[in-house]
Amino acid sequence: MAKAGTRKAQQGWWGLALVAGLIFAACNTAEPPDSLPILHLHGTPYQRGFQHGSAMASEVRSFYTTMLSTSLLPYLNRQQPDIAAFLKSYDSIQHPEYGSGQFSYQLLSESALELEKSIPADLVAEMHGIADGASVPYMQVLMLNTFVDSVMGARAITQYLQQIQSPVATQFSLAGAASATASGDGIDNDEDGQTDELAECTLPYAPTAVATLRDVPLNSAFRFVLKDADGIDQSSVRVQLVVAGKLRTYTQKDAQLAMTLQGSGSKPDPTAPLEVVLTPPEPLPAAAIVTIAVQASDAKLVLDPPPAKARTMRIEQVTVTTAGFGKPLPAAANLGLSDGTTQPTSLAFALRKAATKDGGTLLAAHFSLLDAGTSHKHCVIQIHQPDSGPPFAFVGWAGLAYGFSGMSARGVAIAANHSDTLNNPLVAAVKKKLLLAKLVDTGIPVGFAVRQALQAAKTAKEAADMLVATPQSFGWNYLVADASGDLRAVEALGGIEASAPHTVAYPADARDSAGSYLSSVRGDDVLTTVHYRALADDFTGKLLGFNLQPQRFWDTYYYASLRTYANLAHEIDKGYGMFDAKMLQGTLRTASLVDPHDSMQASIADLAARVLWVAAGQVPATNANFVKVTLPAWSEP
Amino acid sequence: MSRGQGLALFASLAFCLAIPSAWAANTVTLPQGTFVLDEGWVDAVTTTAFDNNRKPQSLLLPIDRYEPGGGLQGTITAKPHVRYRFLVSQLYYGLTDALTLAVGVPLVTSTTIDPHLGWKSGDYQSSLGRAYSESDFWQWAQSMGQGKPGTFNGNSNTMSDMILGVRYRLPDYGFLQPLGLRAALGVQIALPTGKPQDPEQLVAAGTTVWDLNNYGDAELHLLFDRPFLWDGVPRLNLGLDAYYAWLRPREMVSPTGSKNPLLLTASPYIGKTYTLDPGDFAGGTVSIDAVPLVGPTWSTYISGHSLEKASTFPPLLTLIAGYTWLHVGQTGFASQSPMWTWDHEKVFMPGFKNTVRLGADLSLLRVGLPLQFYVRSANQEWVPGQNIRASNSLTLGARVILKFW
Repeated sequence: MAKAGTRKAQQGWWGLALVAGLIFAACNTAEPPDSLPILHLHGTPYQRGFQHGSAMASEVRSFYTTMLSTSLLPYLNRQQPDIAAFLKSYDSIQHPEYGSGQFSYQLLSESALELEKSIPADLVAEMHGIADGASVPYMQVLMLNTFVDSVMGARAITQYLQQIQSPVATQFSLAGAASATASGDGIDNDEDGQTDELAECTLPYAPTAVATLRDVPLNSAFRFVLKDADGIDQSSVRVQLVVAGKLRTYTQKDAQLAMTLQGSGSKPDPTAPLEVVLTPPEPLPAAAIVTIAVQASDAKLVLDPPPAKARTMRIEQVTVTTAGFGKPLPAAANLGLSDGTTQPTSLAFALRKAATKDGGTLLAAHFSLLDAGTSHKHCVIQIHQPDSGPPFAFVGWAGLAYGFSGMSARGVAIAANHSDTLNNPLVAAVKKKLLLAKLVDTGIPVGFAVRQALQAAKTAKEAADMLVATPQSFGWNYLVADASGDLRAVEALGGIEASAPHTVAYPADARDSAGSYLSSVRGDDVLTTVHYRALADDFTGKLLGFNLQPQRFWDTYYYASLRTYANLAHEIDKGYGMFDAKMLQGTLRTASLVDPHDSMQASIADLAARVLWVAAGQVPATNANFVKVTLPAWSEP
Repeated sequence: MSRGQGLALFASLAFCLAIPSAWAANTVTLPQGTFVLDEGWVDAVTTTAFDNNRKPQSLLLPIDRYEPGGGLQGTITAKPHVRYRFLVSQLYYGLTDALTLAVGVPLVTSTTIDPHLGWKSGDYQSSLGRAYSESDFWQWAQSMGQGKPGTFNGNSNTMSDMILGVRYRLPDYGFLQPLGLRAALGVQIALPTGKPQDPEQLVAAGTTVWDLNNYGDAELHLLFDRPFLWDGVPRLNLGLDAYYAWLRPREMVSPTGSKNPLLLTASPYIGKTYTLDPGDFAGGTVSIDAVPLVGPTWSTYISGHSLEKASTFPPLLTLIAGYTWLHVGQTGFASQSPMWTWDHEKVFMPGFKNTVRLGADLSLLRVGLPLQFYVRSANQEWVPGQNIRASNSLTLGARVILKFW
């Protein structure tokens, strides 16, 4: 009886266990994977690479697939007709290896193999380790580690070609009665050293970082001359007027906007330059900063690659100050206001001494370039503890042996931002071989330049010197800082010929020719976005009949970068003396500093504490919590 | 597009073993030696899903698309309309008076999925001079080999997973009798005769248990009836069906991008195959059957010219109402990519379905014809569910009794 009771009880327990199991199975809820893994990598370069590849095998494969195979490679294939029109090496009929959708793969792989020649052996070994650990072909890892450099160079050329085929602004002036008034106001409005000369307020259009005319009459009207070989579609012309922080757009439908084709005769030539005159509806406020921006498309549709579109110029903008402002042109920055067609750019800044709460050194960065809906899913913090040399950490991506910002246990931190330039190795290749050139990048990929500085530099100066000596693959703006408070900016160029500008480095308190800080708010800080400051004339030259121009003339990031720089400077100024790592997290999250769609990673290095704070894994990256990484102490052997 | 699964849409229809008695009670079994052939035509439509907060939403969440280095191109929106049509043949046999065997052959006559794609423009594109319109986007995609998904018309006369079932009428145990309860046990299994979805298709659906997401590979039912009699005639029945449905893990083929190179290429990083473990179902149905019309009742050749026997036949008209609450477990994915796995699993979190059922049976046995006709309607939108896709169905059917008692 007791036995039967026991059996029954056992059956009951089994039954309960079964029911519990079923309920458990039914209630089990999936959990997300870690959005920002931290890898601790030890040993030789190959061993560290292998550990990285093993731990992130699926992410390495998915990053290659989603970033390259299904995003960038097909996207770049669309550029083949434009590029092959100039560079015959890419004609798929004469060179079938570039046909059948293989153009972009060939382009990037050839570039990767060329760049590999400049990558130090230890980093090549690390890439082999990643490939072996992840069980993927080494070529995939090499392409992952070089595509940014290759693509940026090719992108700069295609973007430049697109801009020169779009309408261009050739002239800017005051129009109507204001022009005469300005010519007799006793002020050197254009600061050319001559006062009230003939056509004082009529200037060839040139993009600048500061105002173009000062103290203009309050009844000013503004005139642009636009030119395009195919003529300009007048219905596409948009003029924006920014006054007192408010933006208003005028189009052909508005009475305030007048357009006239230059030239005489009853039948005007539709391809003649177009004069666009904006007469503001009311007088401008006195002592104000006013920005006038213009954009237009040409009259010809480009059908290939689809979709059909006209070539559209970048928004060009001019800033003037109105009567009563009374300050020189550099006192008013040419910022305008974003109309939503541009986003904040990458940024980095470093602070020390009087800028920080405890006098320590901090370096913060927010890198934005190319998320494409995938890169944020592949972010990873790598902490390297090499067999020899100091530990170092950076935030990067699965499969990549580098990141755009990091810190070493020596207390040296570095951040890198892209900076478009035609002073790059791809342009050098075209200059050398002209129509038979290939867009093959050379130099050290940016991330490996960062790695070298992290591994070897003992001070910010050493890091800056290394970066100056490094053959650069493209244009980059670096910031370096060390625990002693040395802060330096490095504006890097490909240095494609001896007579062209080369990479420069300067300390936080460097000043320009006018005596103002070059890239600093108050001297105990240094900041950078994606435009050059010391190298404002980064390149000028001729190529295949084209006039190559400095960055500011064609870079679509240029005006957005000016705005981001100004907003960042404002935030730094506002918080001067109060900054610590926590406060910087808030600064990096400031809406005017965050690209909502291509933000990739944000980091803060607290150098004395050897602490790196990283936000990544979401878009924008600053939506994520900052993760704290502390490097072990290190003393030089 | 939808995380490697394509527009993985699941029609959930009100198909399950229904014992072919016009007295549609849970515990009824066929008399020994009796065959019943049941032919049902089912039309099931799915247009709505319920999120974790039980809010209705489209079957497909908006999908952001990005221009490399150019920010957000725009957002693909979709309001898919999914329609399955079935012809369901069921054959029942009374092995004993207490044990009925059944086989069900669901034939999908057609599946139509109209994705109703839309577009919300994103960032300004300097290369285009404007933000992408919908037409711009699909032209852009087409230039890279990615066409716009169109309407799916497929599964023409394609088998779903066949069902074998058995129902056993439990003895009238002493503890049931005072309550007037009758009890039965039901077991059914599905045979893998359905066709899985083409993994390379963005807008497609298969005919397996997983695709239909309505019945399990194996189910265990505990069934109760509480009939109420008036003048010796059962005019009301309360029913309860508590059950657990297990869906087996299955190996799925990963999409390689052969048909959708931009939107459906996961094989390189998730592996050539992945494992899908559909969430099990657990829940129950309460039902009420009412008989507004019992007869007329005639003694005919069907009843051996016995009025008494004819009086035991199902009533002429039965109205049925029911409600089903069904917990749906987490659907698990196992692939080489934890990220891809999570992207899928978060779409199939645990939740529940609320189904309201209405129906009517017309039985002609009492008037001498071995025929029954029925209509069933099931609605999963009237009472919002959680983390499920709601399907509404209409079933019309007829039954022929092949051996008479």
